[in-house]
Amino acid sequence: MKPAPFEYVDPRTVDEAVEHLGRHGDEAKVLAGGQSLVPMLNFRLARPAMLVDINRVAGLDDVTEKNGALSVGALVRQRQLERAIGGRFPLLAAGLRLIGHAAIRVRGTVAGSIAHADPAAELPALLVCAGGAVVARSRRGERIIAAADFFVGPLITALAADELVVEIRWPVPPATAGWGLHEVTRRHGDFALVGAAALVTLVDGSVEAVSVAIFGCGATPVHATAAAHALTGRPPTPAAIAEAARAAAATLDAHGDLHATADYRRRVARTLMTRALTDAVRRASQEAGMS
Amino acid sequence: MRSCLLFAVQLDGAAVTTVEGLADGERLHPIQEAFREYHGLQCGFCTPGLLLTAKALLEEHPAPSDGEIREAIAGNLCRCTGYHFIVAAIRAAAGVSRS
Repeated sequence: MKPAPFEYVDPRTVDEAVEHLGRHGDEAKVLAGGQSLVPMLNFRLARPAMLVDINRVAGLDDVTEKNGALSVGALVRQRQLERAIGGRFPLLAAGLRLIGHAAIRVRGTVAGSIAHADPAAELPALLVCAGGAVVARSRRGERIIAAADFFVGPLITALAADELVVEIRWPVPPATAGWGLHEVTRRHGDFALVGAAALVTLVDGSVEAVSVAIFGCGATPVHATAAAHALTGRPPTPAAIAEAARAAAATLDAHGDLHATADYRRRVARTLMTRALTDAVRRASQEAGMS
Repeated sequence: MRSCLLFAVQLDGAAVTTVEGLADGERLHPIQEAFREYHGLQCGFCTPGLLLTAKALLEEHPAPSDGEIREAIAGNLCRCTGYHFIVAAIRAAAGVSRS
């Protein structure tokens, strides 16, 4: 199928873009990479009256580091960030490589995946895991929305209809942090059935800080605070990790669909959390020079 | 790029290369030659996508491992060949580009 008819505008500045969104709000959708939106248009699952194509807007394709955070402009392609960050942020680099295929990542944007907010996508969960934020602009001004507040439901975010995401901020984990990322897909490049991401820092053999996020298990990415509570301040033994994963999985409000049952998702989330935490602890230990 | 996810209007001012742009008149591109020699196609339906995906891969990774080849083509589905000969063709094309 082809999209239902729509009006098309391609602003050259952020001001022009938010002017269109301000005037046409609910009837307009922003087009950046199009790798999530255009399939929905083609299936007519979405029928916006207007597409605001921001691909020619100046100043949105930079990746810069300031104040310990990576600032990623709204038009930064997934492939572009994959190449830019390298060893600085291995969790994010690993996550980017799991998204679809190269042909998709060459067009798809980091901000777009986050604004689209598919519960099975990697980037929203990684943003939650890293404690990042979304910078949104409208005619009314600019605001910063923390990842914890951004994802409201499946494909639903805290963005108002007249707001444009201009930047994603990723706090860069300390050099001593260990990371882990595991997902289960039916085929390489598919959306995850379930996935888990973890960041851990250790001090004197105990967990100083830990953050775990789960995707594909519920309406939004889940910040597994139960796992964090269970591990903070404790030595990360296999038993402690297993118990943390069990406690976190028990709180999951998993959903069932044609791809997997809720029970499957909960069980697999528990296993993937265990693996992600184990990897993160191992990497954190290596960073700290311990065995 | 997935052509089904790009609107023509977005390409205003861009240069677009499709599979028809690979051959130089009657001379096949080395990747096309490799697909021919290694039987990397049967019905040919997936072939345009695979040729261009292979071209993009080899431009960035001139000496890919088999694993890297398989990961690179994971987004292209073939109903005929079972992929072995496609991978062999791309491996061979990489060898030709290097020599």
